[in-house]
Amino acid sequence: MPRELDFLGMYVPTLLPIFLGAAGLQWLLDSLLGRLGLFNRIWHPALFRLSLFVCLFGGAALLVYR
Amino acid sequence: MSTDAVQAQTPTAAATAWRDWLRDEAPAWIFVFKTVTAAFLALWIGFRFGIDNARSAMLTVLIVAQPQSGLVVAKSFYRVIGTLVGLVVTVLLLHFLAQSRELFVGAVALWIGLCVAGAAYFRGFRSYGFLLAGYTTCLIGFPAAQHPEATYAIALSRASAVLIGIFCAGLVAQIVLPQRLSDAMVKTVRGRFHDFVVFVRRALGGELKRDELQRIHHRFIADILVLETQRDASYFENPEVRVRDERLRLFNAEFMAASTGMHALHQWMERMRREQRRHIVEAMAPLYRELSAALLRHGRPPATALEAHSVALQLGRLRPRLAHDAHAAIEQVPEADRLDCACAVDLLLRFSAALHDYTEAYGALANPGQRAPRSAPAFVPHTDPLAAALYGVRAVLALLAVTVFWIATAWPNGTSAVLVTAVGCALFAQSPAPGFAVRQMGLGYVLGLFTMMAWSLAILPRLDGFPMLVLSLLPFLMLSNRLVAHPRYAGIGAGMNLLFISEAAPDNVIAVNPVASINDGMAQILGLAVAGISFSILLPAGTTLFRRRNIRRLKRQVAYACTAPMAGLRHKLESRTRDLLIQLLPAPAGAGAEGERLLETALVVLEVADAVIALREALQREGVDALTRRLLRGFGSALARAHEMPSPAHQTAARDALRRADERLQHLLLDPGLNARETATLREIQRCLYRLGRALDDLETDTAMTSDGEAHAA
Repeated sequence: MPRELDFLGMYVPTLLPIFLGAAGLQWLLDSLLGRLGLFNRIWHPALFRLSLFVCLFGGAALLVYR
Repeated sequence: MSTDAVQAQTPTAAATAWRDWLRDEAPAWIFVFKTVTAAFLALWIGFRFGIDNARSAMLTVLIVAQPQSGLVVAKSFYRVIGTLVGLVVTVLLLHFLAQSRELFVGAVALWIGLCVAGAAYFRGFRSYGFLLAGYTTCLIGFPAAQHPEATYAIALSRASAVLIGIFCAGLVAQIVLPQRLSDAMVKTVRGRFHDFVVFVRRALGGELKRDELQRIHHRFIADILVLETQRDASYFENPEVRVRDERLRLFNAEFMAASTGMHALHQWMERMRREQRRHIVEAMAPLYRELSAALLRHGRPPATALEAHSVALQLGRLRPRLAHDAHAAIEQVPEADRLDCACAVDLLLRFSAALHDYTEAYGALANPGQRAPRSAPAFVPHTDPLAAALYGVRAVLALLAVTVFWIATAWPNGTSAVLVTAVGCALFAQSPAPGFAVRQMGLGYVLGLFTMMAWSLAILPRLDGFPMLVLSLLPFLMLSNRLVAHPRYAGIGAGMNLLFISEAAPDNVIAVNPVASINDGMAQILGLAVAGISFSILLPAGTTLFRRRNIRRLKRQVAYACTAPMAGLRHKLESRTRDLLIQLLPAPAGAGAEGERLLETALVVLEVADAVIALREALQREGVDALTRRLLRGFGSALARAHEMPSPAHQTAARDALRRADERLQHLLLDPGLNARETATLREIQRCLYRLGRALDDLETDTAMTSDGEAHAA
């Protein structure tokens, strides 16, 4: 994948849309897991959520920088 | 539980001291530690990314710092929204007006006035978003107006700084020793339910004196607003709370209904006691005992939502039995007491229904997957739009004064002064004692100015590298944030934070220019002083004008109950009345004689509105003809007038309307063609009218007393 995207004549780092996508996915997973009550069984929910986000974003970013 | 723990060990003096320290000081130091960590993290990232104003990122952390993570995230959210709106408006204003300085400055002042009005109209962190939208135009607009070609760069660097700051603040708040708002809320919710059950049991037992009752009601009302604010902020904290949000809203709504029901019942029974209607009091006692017993689980009030769930089932089973017993009780009292007793039974059944709903709403909190039993109405705050608009105008005037001075004297630091005036006007407009808040902040600014001078003259020139910078700033930041964590000196700490960091200026390109910093710091202090002066000259806080207006608005809630559409009316009314009362009574403790009177007024309004709503509910059923409806509507408006402007003439008019409506009802009841349902409806309306009539009696005695008092005072 290219490292920069042409957005209306502007070069945008590909990481930006990936970041936004990961954030959206995180939001979805978050509310889903919250609804299932998973966070009651986790020692440190905030740390879990941060790690989840790092996995999502980092994994997707590997598509670009490999 | 805690007393047992204390008795179990024999504490040495050192152990006691340690425990005391842990209880009192540890939370404050955790807050200091987290805030300082987040602030330096933001500064480091700012330097690493090479943004122009790394100190803005650091300032953002210091500003959004709150003890609980939900509050941090909520405040951050509104800070970002406010900043973005402010940036867009700045760019637009610059685009159209940058050529003419006076027009541009005037437009900025107007926009800020608008935002101050918005900040005064909304509550909590929403209000903070408005503040940001306003002062961002100052912060970005003035430097950008001098270098229009750099507008976008300045705006982008401001946005990045704010984003870095809130990212660090949110990260540290959630990850490092998280203090969750939802935990605090669980404690609040549990404590409140427990207190209410104890209160109901004591009130039903007739143990409460009038002033104690008032104090408890006042605390409950304050609690409702606290829980509402917490719920609002915790929405941002984590998805669990979002799932629970609707049920929490319901919990608060049902609590208001239950406490009004309790109050109406208690008032009525006090009236009966005063009039020594022995038969009624005796007939009600066993019903009270039944209800009181159903509130307990294993002989004590339910401690958790799970226990409340079974209490709700208990109450649900009790209700039909209670209705049956109550109707049997009415039959036992002598003919003369029957109407009053039937009213008491009405109130008791209404209250038991509200209590059941409240307990059910609490029980529903236990189960994470479950939906709310009913849809939950939103809390409706009731701020005065006129006051908000006037606060906006005041801000515009203060800003124009500073701006004129700035332009006329070509003051190099004018922009800083205008900026701080804007912040001051927006931040403290709503505060019950703005003068005090501004003085505290000013003291913090002065303290910040001196510490900043010491730092930049003695320490800054010897620094080398980021670790040394952190070490040198650390003691100052710890001091100011320890002050922020102190309830009494929070304003001083906040002021010190703001001035110290904004002037000590650890930016990417560190400029060692103490004279410029000192001049700018003094300009900030002057700007704050102008805001303070505007508060004391233009519309001083607690002006009788606004108080009178708000008291009128409080009394007008009776009219609202009579005329507003029925959908969700009860809840809107409950929240509006309480919100108004809290605006009128800033401090829960020591409200004084006037506070007592206001609380009394609000409780009367709630009681009367409760009867009006009961009446309107009965009217929705069949069996009432158009003429009666018209008579009742007429009575409604007369009653509303009598409450809004208590005067003998209005009261007589209300009484006449009441009599006409009552005669009409009696006439209808003579009709032999009525079926049982229609008779029941008409009788219920009659009882509501009777209750309203009794409330009108109280109002008359009250008016007579106050007008006497005023005559004596004059």
